[in-house]
Amino acid sequence: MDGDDGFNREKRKRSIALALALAALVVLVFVMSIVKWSMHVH
Amino acid sequence: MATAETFPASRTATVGDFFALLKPRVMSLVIFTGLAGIVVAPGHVHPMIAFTALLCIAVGAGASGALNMAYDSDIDALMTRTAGRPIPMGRIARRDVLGFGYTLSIASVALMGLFVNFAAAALLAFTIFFYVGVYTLWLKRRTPQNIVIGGLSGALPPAIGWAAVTGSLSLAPLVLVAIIFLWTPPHFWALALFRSGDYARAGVPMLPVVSGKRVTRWNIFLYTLALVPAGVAPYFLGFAGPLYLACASGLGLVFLAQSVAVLRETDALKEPAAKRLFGISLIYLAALFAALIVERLAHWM
Repeated sequence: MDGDDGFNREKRKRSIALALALAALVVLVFVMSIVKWSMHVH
Repeated sequence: MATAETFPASRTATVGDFFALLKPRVMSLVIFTGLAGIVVAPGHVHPMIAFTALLCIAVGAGASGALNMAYDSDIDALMTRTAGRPIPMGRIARRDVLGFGYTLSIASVALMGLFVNFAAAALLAFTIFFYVGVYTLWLKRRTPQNIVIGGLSGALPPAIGWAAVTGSLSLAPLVLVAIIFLWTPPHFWALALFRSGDYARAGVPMLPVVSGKRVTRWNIFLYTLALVPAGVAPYFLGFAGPLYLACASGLGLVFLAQSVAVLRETDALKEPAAKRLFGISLIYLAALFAALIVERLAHWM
């Protein structure tokens, strides 16, 4: 069942990469919102 | 038993395959020229806004590359240089790449509009549209002028970077755009000279395939002749210093001398002069924009 193992491993890696990309996007949006807010305040 | 062969292509794709769809080498040059536009632009911008602008330019460029690979997967399979890409290799389904590319395109333009400014977002959207719609879908398979006109999309990142800082455009970023625009034909035609068999097999009407190598050599020389003075223009327009002038004039002369060597090439089979010109063109563009960035950083210190 090497094919199954390899497939599951790649599927897990793709899921982790997608989760990291989405997390980075959320952090970016959050930080940029604070930056925009601070620029508006000043 | 389920094996990789029984799954639709994208279920066997690796993270590296998706990364390859973004054309990371092209993306690195786009990031570099976009960064030059940001640092050369007058005025001050918050570092996080500059970072976001650069990220959006990079993701937009990567998305364009992925969409290009999706629409060109049929001819990519026929050319040695591109046959190893994820779609022709059967590792990713074409429709999934289209979804991937359009998602990233929309996300990059939306983020640019939300957090940088409308002008930069509009320019980024236009760049993606021009590369995918005008170059890939319209011109590439129809005319030997494909890379000349389509080259505008690759030339725009410095203008996007500039617009991210100033919210507008002026002569300086347009000069940087003109430099990359004039650089594109000799760069790609040098590649087309030593890969002409590839392009002929795929039916892509590159200049050496349609008009022959002699016409291509003359076109390379004439475009280089126009590029070299355009390359030194930033110094005389006052937005580049002596380091830039030294790089642009010195490497410009090397570029021109090599284009003459291409003109006088006798080995039409291996095209060694065209191969050297291809390498020199990469060094030329990287050095010019590196000099712009270094001079501005030195000025800030």
